[in-house]
Amino acid sequence: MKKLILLFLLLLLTPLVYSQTCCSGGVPLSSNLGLPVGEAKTFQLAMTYDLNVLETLKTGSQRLADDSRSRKTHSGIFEVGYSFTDKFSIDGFFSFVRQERAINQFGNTNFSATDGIGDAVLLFKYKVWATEGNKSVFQLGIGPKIPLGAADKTNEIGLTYNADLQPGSGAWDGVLFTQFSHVLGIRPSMSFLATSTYGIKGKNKNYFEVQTYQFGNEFQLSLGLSDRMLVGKSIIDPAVLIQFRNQAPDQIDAVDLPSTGGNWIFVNPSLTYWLTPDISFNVGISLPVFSAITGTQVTPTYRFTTGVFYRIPSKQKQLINF
Amino acid sequence: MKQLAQFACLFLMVFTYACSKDNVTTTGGVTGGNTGNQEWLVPSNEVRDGGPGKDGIPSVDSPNFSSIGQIDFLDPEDLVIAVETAEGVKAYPHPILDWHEIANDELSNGKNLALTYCPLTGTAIGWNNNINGQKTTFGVSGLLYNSNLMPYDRATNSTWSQMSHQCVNGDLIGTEIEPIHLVEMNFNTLREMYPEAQVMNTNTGFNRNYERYPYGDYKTNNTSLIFPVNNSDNRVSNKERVLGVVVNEQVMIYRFNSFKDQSTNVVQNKFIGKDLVVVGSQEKNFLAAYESVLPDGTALTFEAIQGQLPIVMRDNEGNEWDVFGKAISGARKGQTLPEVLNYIGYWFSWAAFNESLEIYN
Repeated sequence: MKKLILLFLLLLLTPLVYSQTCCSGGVPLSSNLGLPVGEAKTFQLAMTYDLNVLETLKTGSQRLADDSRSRKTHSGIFEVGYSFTDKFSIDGFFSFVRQERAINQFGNTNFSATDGIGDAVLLFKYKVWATEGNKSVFQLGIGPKIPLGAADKTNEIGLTYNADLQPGSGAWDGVLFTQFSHVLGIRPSMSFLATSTYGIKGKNKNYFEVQTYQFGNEFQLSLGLSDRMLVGKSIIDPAVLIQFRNQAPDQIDAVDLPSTGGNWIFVNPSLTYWLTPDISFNVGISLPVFSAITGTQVTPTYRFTTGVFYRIPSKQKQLINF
Repeated sequence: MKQLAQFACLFLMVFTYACSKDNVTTTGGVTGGNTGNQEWLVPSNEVRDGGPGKDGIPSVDSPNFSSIGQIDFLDPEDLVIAVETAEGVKAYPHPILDWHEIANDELSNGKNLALTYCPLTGTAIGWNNNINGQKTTFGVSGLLYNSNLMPYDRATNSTWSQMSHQCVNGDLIGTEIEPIHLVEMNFNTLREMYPEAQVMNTNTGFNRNYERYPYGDYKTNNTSLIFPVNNSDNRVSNKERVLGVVVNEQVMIYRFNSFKDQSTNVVQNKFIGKDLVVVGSQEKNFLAAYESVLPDGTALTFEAIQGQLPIVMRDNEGNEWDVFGKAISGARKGQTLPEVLNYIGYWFSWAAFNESLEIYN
């Protein structure tokens, strides 16, 4: 038990600062990181559609009665993971992003959009500690975010959109990841899950060709429970997470950009339906329950996520199973 | 495996549907200029998308006013933009303009005012909303050139550059503004000068927190320029507010510290062939410039008047003039001094638009 408390404290003490663009839709890299712990020599695949909708105008924690602005980020995310051993694995995270901005004002709708390949993340994960049968697992991860996405998209007449509307960031980031899971003794089908990510944001040194843009560092901590239920012949995992997110202000030429950054708390209920022991379908939503933002921003209204997960069994296991 | 393929197909269908935007109706034109006319009078590669998008910062098209005594959301040092009308002085507070950037208003003297204000350059310029005989209103295009506001007119969707003083893209390209004279001062000075003034109130039709400045420490942080500018000049701190007087596209700069000897101060000088008189006060936080030669050729010389605001100067004929350049007493009572385009802005913005600036010493 002491070890558990120690590991939990370590998780919480992951540098408590910072998160990805807040006034922007933000490509949900951090929120989707971390495939489940896999067995040695197994591949895991996940395909996720993520819709992040920002239509709530706030100043500080006060909501303003103005629904004229809408920002949406659609992301198609492909994750692939491979476990080299029981302890060491690597996740690759690739995305296709569509950014949308709409303003409904004075009887007009002004709409702008960009799309393209988004940035990618490589996450090297190491299982630091686990009990028998992986009932308690603590793993760490580290990796780069690779700026594959374009950060210089232009509109119909060639004017460059600002950083918020670009599918990529134009910067190399560092990502730190910690995750702790524990099967509860009182109900063996139920697990406690704690995940934190910390994004150390790099600089796009070619912003508007002459400036440097840096998204604010991002910290996220999710705490929650998931359970496993048998409904008829189907296995369903309901889960609920409470997510805290902190993002530092973005910077242009090392000076804070007004109305960026802030703190949010979300509640994230989700359902996972297991088609087979290795294939699942999941759907989830993220709803903000608290936000205290810097300045005035269009801030998240809801986020919807759905996807499929497929674990490719090891050859040895396949031989056993089939 | 078959089931996985089915779900992959379903996923792709959902993503494709979600990202298709055939159902989006765009009725206000694209953000950024007029697609019908590709020609720009400023380098188009230096025009920036400011972020909020077209009309993302909404103009105020039906401003409401209250008498000065009823205004309780302004601090004494808050800046206001004052305009003189036939029915008295109207004032537009910076704390409202910071959130809206443009106020379209009808003045009682028959002119329609587009009060354009850029929080990033600190410049407020008024111009006539009647363009080529057609009344229009202006909105915020969401674009910036040299970190400065680019309004668009709702009649033709053409894009204008505030500090270039003209339309730079669209059907009205090349059309110059017809300025309406404004004077910037703080709220305390307005109250002292014009206690009967009508002040734009917070009943704008939009829900904003007007008691909060939306740009952090931008006003005072000399290193904070959110968007690039194509020229800089380190003779003066970037965010120092200075008065620029524009004559034949050349600019003479007047600094507040040249107007600190007395409460009210007057300077006269010649610039590009024009005789100018500039009246101002560092203490009262106002500066205004006029031509000192009347249309009949009379060249006037001025001295400052203390303690009689809004009367600020007396000429060699004994006429007394107010801050709007109007004779209040004397033989020329009712006459006005010839106007010259002048307005206050952050130093960096004047430098961005003008490679050579002359500073009054």
